[in-house]
Amino acid sequence: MKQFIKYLFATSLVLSLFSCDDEDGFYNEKYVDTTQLVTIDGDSEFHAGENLYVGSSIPRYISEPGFSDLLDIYGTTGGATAFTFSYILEKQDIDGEWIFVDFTDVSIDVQEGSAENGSFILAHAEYSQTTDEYNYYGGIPLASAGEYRLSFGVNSDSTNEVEFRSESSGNNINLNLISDMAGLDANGYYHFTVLP
Amino acid sequence: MKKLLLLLLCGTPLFAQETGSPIAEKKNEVRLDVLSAVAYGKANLSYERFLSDDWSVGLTGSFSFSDKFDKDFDRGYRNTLPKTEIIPYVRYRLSDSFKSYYFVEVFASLNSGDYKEMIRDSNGATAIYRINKEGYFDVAPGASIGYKVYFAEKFVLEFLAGAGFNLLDPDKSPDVVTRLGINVGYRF
Repeated sequence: MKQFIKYLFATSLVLSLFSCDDEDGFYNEKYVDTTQLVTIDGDSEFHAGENLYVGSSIPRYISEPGFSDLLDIYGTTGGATAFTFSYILEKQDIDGEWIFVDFTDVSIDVQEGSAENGSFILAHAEYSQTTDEYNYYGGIPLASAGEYRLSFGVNSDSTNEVEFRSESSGNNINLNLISDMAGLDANGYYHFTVLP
Repeated sequence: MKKLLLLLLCGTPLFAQETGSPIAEKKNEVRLDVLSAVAYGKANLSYERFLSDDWSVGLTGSFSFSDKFDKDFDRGYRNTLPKTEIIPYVRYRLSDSFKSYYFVEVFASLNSGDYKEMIRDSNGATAIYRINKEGYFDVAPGASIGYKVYFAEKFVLEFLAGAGFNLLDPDKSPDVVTRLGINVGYRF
């Protein structure tokens, strides 16, 4: 009898594992590789008191690797109102350690799209019916001199790429755009210096 | 749960021979699967006809009423949504006792439901991805092992575990059809 009970439970367990085979995963998610969706205004040197502007301009129709036609990202997402991405800023202290710069009480100069700020910036590139583009352009103040680095890997599986996620409503497809970006090092950091 | 295990452990000895049991004279049985109803949101009804002391045949029918599974399917947490299932089966009694016994069965699950996949629609110049939903139908032959115990010679508690593999359209239907149940029923 005991052997039977063990068998029953073992069988149930094995079958449960088997039955997960088709059910795991998220079937409303789509990932598309793309390129250069994020730009940083300026070069690698800034001055204290200036803003560092991060911008993104995503056309409605983008090229997709492996296809000759253009992908309609607005249509795919059922008319998503925005694509979000996030980034953090770190400053090197005198010991060489990288310390998060907190933006909780800092005013972000958002000129296009919108942003939520705290320990990181959550940027929303918002759709414009006029231009058929998703746009974001926001500046974070650089208060003091030093060595800084930006990272776009927060809230993302990507290390040296920037991941955009559509703000799709209801059960529409969630489109994730994985973009490379000029100026990132192998670990996904954009380094720059702020001069006094 | 402890009571359940105790019930199983203290059941009638495996090879206790019984002859002329009143249970064996009753040739029909209907059952309701409480496990499927509670855990999987499925109504699952079975009928079993006893052809001899050892052999029986039966039919199980089930349909899903789970709102949670519907939502999970729409939200993309699963790509199949089993809806209905009809399972003819043949059973063979392994133990000698009629009051409680093990059995094995072979079955064929005729199962259907909805399937979804993401497809790329192109008009030549532009394309979109969209979710395409369609129905599936498949047949999964399989086998199970189970245990029955009778109370008052007419009420039955049955444990069942088994699995089958879909053959006709495995790209759309679930690979595996499980047959797990805790049934309560009446023999007459």
